[in-house]
Amino acid sequence: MVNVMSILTNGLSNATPLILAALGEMLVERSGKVNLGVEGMMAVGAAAGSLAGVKWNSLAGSFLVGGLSGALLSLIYVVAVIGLNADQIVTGLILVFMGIGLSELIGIKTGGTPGTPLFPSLGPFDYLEVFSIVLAVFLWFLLYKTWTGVELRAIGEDELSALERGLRVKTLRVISIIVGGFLAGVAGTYLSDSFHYGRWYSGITGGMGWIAIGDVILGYWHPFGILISGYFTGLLFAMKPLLPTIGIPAELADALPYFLVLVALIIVTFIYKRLGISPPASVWKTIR
Amino acid sequence: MRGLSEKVSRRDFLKLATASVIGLAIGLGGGYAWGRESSTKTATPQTPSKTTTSSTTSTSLAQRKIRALWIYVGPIGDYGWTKAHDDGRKYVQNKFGKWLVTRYLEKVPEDQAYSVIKDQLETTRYDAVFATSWGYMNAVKRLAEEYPQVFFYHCSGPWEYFKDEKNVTTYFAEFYQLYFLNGIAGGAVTETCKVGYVPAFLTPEVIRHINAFAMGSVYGAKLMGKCGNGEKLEIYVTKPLNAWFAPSAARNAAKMLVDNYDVDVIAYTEDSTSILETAESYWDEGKKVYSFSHYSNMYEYFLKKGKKLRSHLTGQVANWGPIYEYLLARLYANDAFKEDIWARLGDFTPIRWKRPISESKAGQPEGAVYLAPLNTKVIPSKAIIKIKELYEDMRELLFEPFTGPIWGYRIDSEGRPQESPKLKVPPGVRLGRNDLWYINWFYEKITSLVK
Repeated sequence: MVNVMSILTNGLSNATPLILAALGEMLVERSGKVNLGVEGMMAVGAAAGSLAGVKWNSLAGSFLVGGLSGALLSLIYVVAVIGLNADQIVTGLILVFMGIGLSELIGIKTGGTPGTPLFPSLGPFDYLEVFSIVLAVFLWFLLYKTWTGVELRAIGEDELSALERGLRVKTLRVISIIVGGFLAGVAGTYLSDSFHYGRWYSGITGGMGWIAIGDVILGYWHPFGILISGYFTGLLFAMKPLLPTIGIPAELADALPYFLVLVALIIVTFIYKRLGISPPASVWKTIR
Repeated sequence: MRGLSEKVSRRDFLKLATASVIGLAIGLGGGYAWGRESSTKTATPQTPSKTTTSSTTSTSLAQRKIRALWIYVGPIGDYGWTKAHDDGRKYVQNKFGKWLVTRYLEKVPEDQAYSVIKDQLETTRYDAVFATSWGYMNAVKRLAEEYPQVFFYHCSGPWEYFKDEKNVTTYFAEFYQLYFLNGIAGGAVTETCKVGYVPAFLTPEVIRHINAFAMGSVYGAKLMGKCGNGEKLEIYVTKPLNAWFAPSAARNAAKMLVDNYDVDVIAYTEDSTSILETAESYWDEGKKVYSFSHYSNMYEYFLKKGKKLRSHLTGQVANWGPIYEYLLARLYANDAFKEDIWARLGDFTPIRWKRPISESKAGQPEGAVYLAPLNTKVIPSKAIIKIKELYEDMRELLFEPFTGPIWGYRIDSEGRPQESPKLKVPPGVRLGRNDLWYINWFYEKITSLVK
């Protein structure tokens, strides 16, 4: 008894936070940096968004505050990595744990109270699902059809040349990182507002931020690629409760989506290598 | 373009690896500190929240004061299990404020309970300790031996475990009767003839609730003469969530039941409002899905928030107040003794004998366990009358859901059938406390969704 239609639509709803966060992270990586703090920014977004929802009883306010809190956290990354040349990996990891801690600090105030009005739906899709697709198209246009996009990609490919050419390396990077933080925050708010009806709870992100970073690689740093990879992982999560009913050991079912993402990453990375394509060149390098 | 591996030299790799390890350490430390700080805001194991001050009016007599400590496993804001206990604490606090001082510790991990409670007992005098989680059993047993002057109360543990401890009383609020009544409501309203259950764990407690709900729903369908007089009613039980509080997994399980199994009534054991809200969200899509309150009156809660639930049928509610009131009054009167309380319908009500249906308080607060408001708009009046009738009968134990003949099959911890259905309760036999307390089989009509 498998309702394919419902899995397909549930897949999109599960994919939305992943796609949003991954698109943000893609921008950051395209500009030549890696912010591993996605999980932390999502956690803060979930808690702050939920708190705003409970306080104001407004969905828009909830998302705005959630996004801004993610952006605020990413400012720490900006100051440390861009401003003070700190190691981007270390900073990202600190952001993760700081975000999870902050999430507890803020979330305890609502303590699991369901706050915002029920999430409205547009037929089978909700606003954020539609928004995530529109955003992907917009980012594709931005990256590949505008001069700013070329500039952004150039920074990510060869920072030194970009500097020599007088491109706005720091400015664009800072903007990308802050936008990435905002989107991660919105993705986190989506977790509490859509999945849990405005309710935050401890451990709400459950590794979604890390999966989003995986989706950036799976989608080959391309907006449309990320749409596909995000939807694929969303489908895995949507199918999770069904797995025990088709004979997959219940003990294994919970871990399977994470495991499959890992397998997909290995396969895709192998293919990328064979084809001779690589990530934005300056992503994993620190040039002063 | 070159591959990534060619670009990372050994030195770079080492730098990266070291940095990651350092980052992880700093991050873990920092995150942990943040996390701890957040939890200490509301409750610090070392300094419990004091909720009452000693009465300011000076008394000439050396007034006897009872000091009681509550240990909670979750946050008091969980809107479920822990909040219900805290409401009970507040109830006795208001009632016995003159001689009762209550304190509580929330979010006490089960494996740390022993040292946390011991710290308290070493620094402050307490007369009573209420340990409100099953996992505190071991700690309570050890502490009861070390502190014979303190009376311990363990919620949900079997009294047999504390057989030798004279200063341990066990107590629990039992829901299986209410789940049977929920089942009647569910069986009476289902249009798809498919109902479902999402369990947190498959402990005996949850298993008897599932069975009671399943038998009740068959009863309800039969009563209304639908679903082939209950014969064709399908009852699905999902894989256990393996957590008491798991809003995300609960929501997904509920969605699966509705989307893939066409279920339109979902009962559950999970300490949040997640499943009820999931059911409610289907109404916005034009699909009628029903669910229940669990541990507190969630209908009223959402009403206060300005949301009138369409999905709420009825539900099971616990009020620990009367139990705490009774136990503490005995302690105050120097008359506490070891006992085992298993509160069912009728217990802790002033007069427990059955009332006529017109005066039935089914759906209103009474006693330690009661039925959440009945959705009279949806549940047919015939079923409402039956629910009230059985509710009254159950208060006197005139009606018992677990009355034979009942067929069932043994299951494992994930719900997989371990045998073909066998006669579990012979005709005319009623299951007693011991059989119910250690039940390990599913009612035969239940389909386990774990293969």
